[in-house]
Amino acid sequence: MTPLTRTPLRAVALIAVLAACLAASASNQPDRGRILGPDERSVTLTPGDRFSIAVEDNASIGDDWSIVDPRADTAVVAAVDQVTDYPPGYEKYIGGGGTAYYIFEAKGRGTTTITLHNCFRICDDPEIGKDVYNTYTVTVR
Amino acid sequence: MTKPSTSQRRKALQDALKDLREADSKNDVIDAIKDALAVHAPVGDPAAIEATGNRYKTMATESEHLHRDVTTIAETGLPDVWTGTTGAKAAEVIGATGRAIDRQSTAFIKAWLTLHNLADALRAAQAADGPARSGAQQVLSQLGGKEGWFDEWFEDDDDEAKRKKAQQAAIPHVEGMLTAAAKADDAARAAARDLNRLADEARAGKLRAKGVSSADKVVLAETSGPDGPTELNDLLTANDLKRSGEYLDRMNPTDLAAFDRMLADSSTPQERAYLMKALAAGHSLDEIRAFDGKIHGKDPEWLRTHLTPVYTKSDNRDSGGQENDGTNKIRYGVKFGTTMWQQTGPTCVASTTVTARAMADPLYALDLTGGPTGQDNDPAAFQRRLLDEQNRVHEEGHGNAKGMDEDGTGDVLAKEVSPHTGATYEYKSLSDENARRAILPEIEKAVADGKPVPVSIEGHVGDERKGHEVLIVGQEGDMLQVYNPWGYTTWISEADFANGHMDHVADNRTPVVDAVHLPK
Repeated sequence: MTPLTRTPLRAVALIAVLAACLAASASNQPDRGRILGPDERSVTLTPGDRFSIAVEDNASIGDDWSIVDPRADTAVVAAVDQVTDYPPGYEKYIGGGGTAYYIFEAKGRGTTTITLHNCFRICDDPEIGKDVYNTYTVTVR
Repeated sequence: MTKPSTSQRRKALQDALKDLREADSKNDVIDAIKDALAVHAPVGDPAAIEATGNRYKTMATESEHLHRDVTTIAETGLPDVWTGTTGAKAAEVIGATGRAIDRQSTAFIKAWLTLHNLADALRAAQAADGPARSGAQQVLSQLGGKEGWFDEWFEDDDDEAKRKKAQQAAIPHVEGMLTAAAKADDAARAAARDLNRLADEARAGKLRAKGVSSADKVVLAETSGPDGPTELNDLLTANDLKRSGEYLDRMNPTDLAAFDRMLADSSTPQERAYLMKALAAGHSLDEIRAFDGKIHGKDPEWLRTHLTPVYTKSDNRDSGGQENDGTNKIRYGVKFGTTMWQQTGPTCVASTTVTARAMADPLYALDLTGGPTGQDNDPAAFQRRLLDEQNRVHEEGHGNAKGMDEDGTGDVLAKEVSPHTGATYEYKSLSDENARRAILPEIEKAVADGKPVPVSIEGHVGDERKGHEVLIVGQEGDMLQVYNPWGYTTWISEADFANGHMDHVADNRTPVVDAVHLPK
């Protein structure tokens, strides 16, 4: 093999290694798909599409989010994962929070709902906290 | 060189026991036993402690006689010569004196009980330590000397069997020494806590100003809010009494005369106490005069709601059990009217700082509750002012959406609270249960003195750290009163604080104390 052909091969090998690294790091984070904004309460998808419900999540303020009944029809949409993004360096601070993403994937045709509940502070004590329910309508065509 | 504390001895024995259990060579077993034996037995003379306690019991009996005499005067009434405002003031003094003597009698009894309990615990600890220590010494003697470096590398089956036998023989003895040390440590901390608290109850004596009569000292020290248990709602803390006296002693005669007139013209003992509190908070005479203009003639209930954010409605220190998320069921709202003193944004540090300052500085509290005139009762206006102030302090500490860091917390405490209490704040990271337990006497002394203690609490949900800030505002026996800037106080035990149950204050995501800012 002449030096002229070795150089392009080395370059191709390097590109392949870099591409593999990038793919590996990207796969550590799940695909969040379409992210619903704070005021959005409905989404229309096709099977295989992903979407995320994003909510501000701060335990110090008193947020405590969870998915509650009535659960979504799993033939229409299925939960994939839940991740929370925090700003860099947040561990050194007291009082801050992040953004929680509830990630779903459309499975089959139909319409169903997903309900997120925030038991804010002490939610059954109306003097101190409150119950917040967000209901999202998901249509898969 | 200072001797190790009871907590340090306990920790040293815990470490020695761990090393003994994990020892995998004869030399390691010998070292672990020697480390345990190097820890001093529980120190103290139970008989001498008991004798001191008995003197308090004698004084309690004498104090009770005095209380009966004062109560008789209060019940039968003053002689007819005491009429008009002079008679009213004399009645005030008699009432306050009666309460002070009652507290004194209770304090003497508590001191006797505290010292009696300490003596008993120390005696039991020393009795348990002796045989355990002898047993460990015997095992050490039987082991003989340490092995040379070559022999230490190789342990045959026979050596291993002997080593394990010695290890198993020694472990119960070192456990016995640790149990004794733990008993002595718990008793010492409880005694320190209770005696510190009792010392702060000698309240009239904290006000040392030359120009204040004994009668005035007693009345000021015994003035509390219009309701709630009196001993949990004193308007002037021990620190307030001390600082107001110091400021009075530094006043020139003209200012002193002017201040005395303000006090004399006060409508109620509570109004007078708040003027003294304003002085203790470091305000100038002009500022106090303006403050007096806003509060003069107001009834004690108005004064309390506007000037004392945290007051204790009940002497019930029960938790009531816990909600599903770990929070205590019994909580007391911290409110101005119907609006809570609570955080809105990621400002738990700023919010606890604002509340701590409002507890120490009645002018600041009135600016927030009553606005610039002091007369605004609109709850929405209070909420706006409170939010603005929390945000101002948050920015002052370089806070952002992530919250506030340790340096920022130290800065805001130094700027907002220290000038009004005279305390400097020292950051103390608390890495484990031993550290949290060991710091309790200092926390309780600061709180009993009238200096609230900010506490950082944390937890982990998976890899995610959750953090929050709360404030210890009261202490009674082995219970701590804690303010959560979600708008309430609740009572927790010392064990909750040390053993990772701060979920009883907030929720189960932040159960562990990781640091405090300790007022000195």
